[in-house]
This record gives sequence, C-alpha cells and structure tokens, in this order.
Amino acid sequence: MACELYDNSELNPRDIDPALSPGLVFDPVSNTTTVGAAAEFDVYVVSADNISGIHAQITYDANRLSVTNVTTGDFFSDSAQTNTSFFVYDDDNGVLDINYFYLGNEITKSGTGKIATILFNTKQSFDATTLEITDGSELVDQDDVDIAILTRGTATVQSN
Amino acid sequence: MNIAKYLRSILPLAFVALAFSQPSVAVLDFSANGLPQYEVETLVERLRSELPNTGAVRLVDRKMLENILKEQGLQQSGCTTAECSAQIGELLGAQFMISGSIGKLGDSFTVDMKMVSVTTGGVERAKNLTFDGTTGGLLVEMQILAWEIVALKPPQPLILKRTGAEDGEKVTVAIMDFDPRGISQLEAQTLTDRFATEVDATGKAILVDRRQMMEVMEEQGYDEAGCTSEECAAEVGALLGVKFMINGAIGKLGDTYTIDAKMFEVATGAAAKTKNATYNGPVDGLITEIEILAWEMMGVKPPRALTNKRKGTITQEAAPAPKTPLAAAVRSAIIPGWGQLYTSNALDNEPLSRRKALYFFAGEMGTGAIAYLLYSNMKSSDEDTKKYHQSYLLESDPDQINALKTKSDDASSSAESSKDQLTILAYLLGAAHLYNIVDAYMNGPNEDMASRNHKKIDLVYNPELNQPQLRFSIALD
Repeated sequence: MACELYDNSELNPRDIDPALSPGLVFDPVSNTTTVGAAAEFDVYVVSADNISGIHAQITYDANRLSVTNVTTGDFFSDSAQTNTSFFVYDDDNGVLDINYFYLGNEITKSGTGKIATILFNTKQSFDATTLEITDGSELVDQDDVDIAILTRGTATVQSN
Repeated sequence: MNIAKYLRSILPLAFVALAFSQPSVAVLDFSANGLPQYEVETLVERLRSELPNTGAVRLVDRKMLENILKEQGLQQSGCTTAECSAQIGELLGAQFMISGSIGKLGDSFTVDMKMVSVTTGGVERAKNLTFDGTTGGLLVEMQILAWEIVALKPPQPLILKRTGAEDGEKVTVAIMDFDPRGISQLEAQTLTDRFATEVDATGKAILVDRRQMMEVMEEQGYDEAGCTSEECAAEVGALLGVKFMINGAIGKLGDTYTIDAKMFEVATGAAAKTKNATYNGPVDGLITEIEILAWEMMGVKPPRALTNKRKGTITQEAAPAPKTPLAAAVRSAIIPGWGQLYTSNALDNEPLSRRKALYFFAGEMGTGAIAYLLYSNMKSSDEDTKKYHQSYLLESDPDQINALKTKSDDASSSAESSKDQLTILAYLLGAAHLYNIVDAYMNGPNEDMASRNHKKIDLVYNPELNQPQLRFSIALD
C-alpha cells in the first residue's frame, strides 16, 4: 500500500536501559550542517543518583570541527546552593573538558538533566565525524567519590 | 381410471376409422409436353406428397399402383381420358383418380390436371395453370394445386412461398393495427392501412393481407383489440408464417402526435428495427409522416414526392442504441452492478441479473465502507504515533520516557495492522470489481439472451418444414 506510516524508530538519547545508568549522552545524536555553519549539541547526564559534580570529557576531530562556544546546562541550577562550571577545550587536539559541580558539601542531585550546550563550527565538507564522551569523564558524589558511568554517548556531525 | 384406459384403447381405432372415412385418391403419372419426363415425374411426386397434407384425401401408394398396373398389363402412359382413369381406379379400389399433363411453351409452363370420380367416371374437378417462372417455382405451384384439386384453400405459408418470398430480397411481413392513444380506433386503423400500403409500395416486403390476418386470428381465437403485446404479435406471426411482425402505437398529446413502430423477427422475438417520431402539424401531414415511416422501416429512402409533401415538424428520435455486452461492462466499471441492471432492463427485468446487480453493488459498497473505516483507523493511529513519539523525544523523565515510548509503539502497531488489513481488502475489492466487469460483459445483453429470455415453450414458424412448431427451450446456465 502506498501510504507511508510515521517512523517512530528514532530514540531519545535519554532513553537508557536502567541497568546501564547513569550515563552521559549527546542530544541530538546526529546533526547535519554546512561548511562554516554551526552544529549544536546538548550534553545530558541521565539517571544520575546523588551526584555533586560532573566532569565530561569530549573528543572530536580537530581537523573538521572547532568549539565555538560552551554554555552551562541547568542540572545543578534548581538548588539554592551555588554551582559553578568551567570548560577547557583544546582545538589542536580536539578535546573538550566540561566541569560542572556544586560548591560546598552535602548537596547532591539525582535524575536527568542538561549539563552543557556545545556549539561546534565545521571547518570543511565531510561525510561524517564523531563526537565521543571518553572514559576520562567522571561523576562524583558529595565525598568526591567516583560513580561509574555505565553509558557514554556518541554523536555524529555531517557537513555538506 | 378405467375410462382413461378405455379411451386409450379405442383412440387408435378412431384415428384409423377417420382415415378410412377420407376418400382414396390415386395419382397417375402425368404426360410430358416439351419437358423431360424426369422433370414431370418430380413435379407429380411433389403433388403426391402434398395431397396427404391436405387431410382431405387418402393417397393410394405409388408402388401399389405400379404393381397392380403391371399385373393387369396396363400402362399409365397414354391413359389420358376420364374413362381410362376410372378403369384403373376401379382396379386400385380408389374412389378418385388424378391425372394430367405438364408442358412447356416458350418460357411458360402449363399444368392441366383433373380429378375423376371412379364411381361415376365423370370429372369431379379440373385445374389449369400457366406459370412463368423457374421449375423450382413450379414445385410450389404443384403443392398449391394439391390443395385446390381437393377444393381446399392452400395454407398461407404456401401462398407466401409462391410470391418469391424466399429469394432473399423480400421479407414476409404482417402488420398489426397500431394502438391508438388519444385518437380513435378508426383513425388508428386508417393510419395503419396507409402504413401497410406504403410498406407494400416499397417492394421490399410481401405483406399479408389484413383480411387474411383477421381470419386467421379469429380462427385461432385471438382478439385483435386485445393483442397488443409483442408476445401476442409473435404468436400471430407464427400462425401466419411470416418472418417479421410490425406493431406500434400512435398517440396524440395536445397538438403533438407521437408515432412508435417496431419491427421484430417472429422466430426470435428480437427487434429488427424501431422507429419513434414526434410530429407537430396538421393532421393530414401525419398521414405523410406515416407513409414516410413505412419506407424508413423497410430500410428504403422515401421517394422525393413523399418527402416534398411533408408538413409540420417532425422530431425523429434516434432508435435506441442496441444494448451490448461492452456497454454493460463499461457501466459496471463505473458503478458496480450497473451493468447487470442494464442487462436486466434490456431483458424485461430479468430477475437473475437484477439480483446480481444488487449483490455486486451491496458487496462492493460494503467492502468499501469497511476499507474506509480501516483507513480512518490507520490515519488516526499514525497521528497518535507521531504525537507520542515527538513528546518522547523531548522528554527527560525516565518514567515519562517509558510511558510515551509505549504509547507510541502501541499506536504504531495499530496503524501497521490497519494498513495490512486495508491492503488485503483493497486487493479483494479490486478482484471483486474486476469480476463484476467480466460478469457484466460475459452475461451482457445480446441476441442469444433475447431468445433465451423467451418462454421455455413457445410457438415459432419453421420455414424448413413450412409450418408452425412448438419450441421447447431449456437454459443450460
């Protein structure tokens, strides 16, 4: 029959198997843009349980992409407690470090939320290049104890 | 029961007694003058074979005649006098003897025959004929003479045969009085007579005389005024031995006259030609139109003298296009069942086609309705899939993510299921529609249908046997 039905196969990046939580993921998981144009990605922490700080390390192809801007998310912003973030990126090696945490002790947050928004600039035309959240990423609790990250997401950028 | 048994036993005896009450007749060989003897023998043989058909006499077998003559040392040839005939008749035990001669003078044939009473020796009856035509036509004349020599009127089919109706150019036709509608019976008869005169004038038809037709109808118990249907006209046609019957109606509505005439074949009942016209003008102009219609009915262009006489305005409706299987198929392609209804109407509301029309229409419409419901469900479910999925993509809360995913998947399944069912139904509907079209074509109206639609038992004229026959029809479908 000719009529096409809606394809609902696209997954929500935040839809992680509970057995593989917590995780750090990109949203969207794919972005297509043109040379010289920007590609925007949000980074989410998913199903975190009582964390106080996040360090997300992202690698990218520095020949094809450069980081234009990084802004803080709102995961830690609903508490009266002050939060802070800072970002370090090395466009020569294609590494971006996002640090986002509560200042002070005994404050934790659980759940899913955005930790940062990254704006990339495409340097050239290419089929696809991948963004990865490395295993150097960390989630820590109030005592600065590491919490295992069971899902680390990837994303794809295409440039026409 | 005993009475029936008694009757069955005496009936054959009664027939035999009846046969023997008929006078016996022997036919001697005729002498030939200017014709080969074998031709004369053939012609006399035709006379011999027709005599029993009259029912008036009992023919002495020819072999018996020859044997007795041989025994007595007598010869047929040379026995031309009444006395000689009577003498031979006495030997045969016949009551009458028929003898004569057949000659040819130039292009004309002459037949002289006499029937002699054996008892008195006198000539009971004599018949003479001069015939200009072929030897084949003379055969028909000998048949007619067989009736006339026994003082009986020859049957109508023989008379028609005589007039060359079988040469293929002329057809035998009888015309029933046109049905009056808004005019008097007398006026309708007058117009019918004028119509008949013109049909005769076309030279394309051998017309049965109206008086003869009335006589035959009266003999057979038909009331002319009540015999307005085609069925009745066909029955009368069969009795008359004609190939075609023409009937119709003349009506008057205000100043407008309507003329409807139909010529149909007696044997099959199929309409050969239909003419309908509407006339506005003076009454005498109507007569001209009737005359012109007669020519058109016979497929001949009316003479200019007639068309120049035209008054008033005539609107001749085109003869309805013959109904065909292709037309039925096209109709069924547009609306299921329409072709079957078209066939049913062509065959005077034939019930089977009417039922099929209903089944096809109801079936396809019903299937179409179900298909529409499935389509609606499919579209609705698809919209729900999209709605839930888009919400799912934006959601962050794990519980909400799961719930929305489930809803989206359920809606998607429902849409897929409806789509699959719709696909199957679409194929079924397509097949049903195709079958509807094929059925309309295969069972569409045609000449065979017209004869199949006839009564299972009816009366038809058989030109081969030269007599009306009962026809039994059994439909094999």
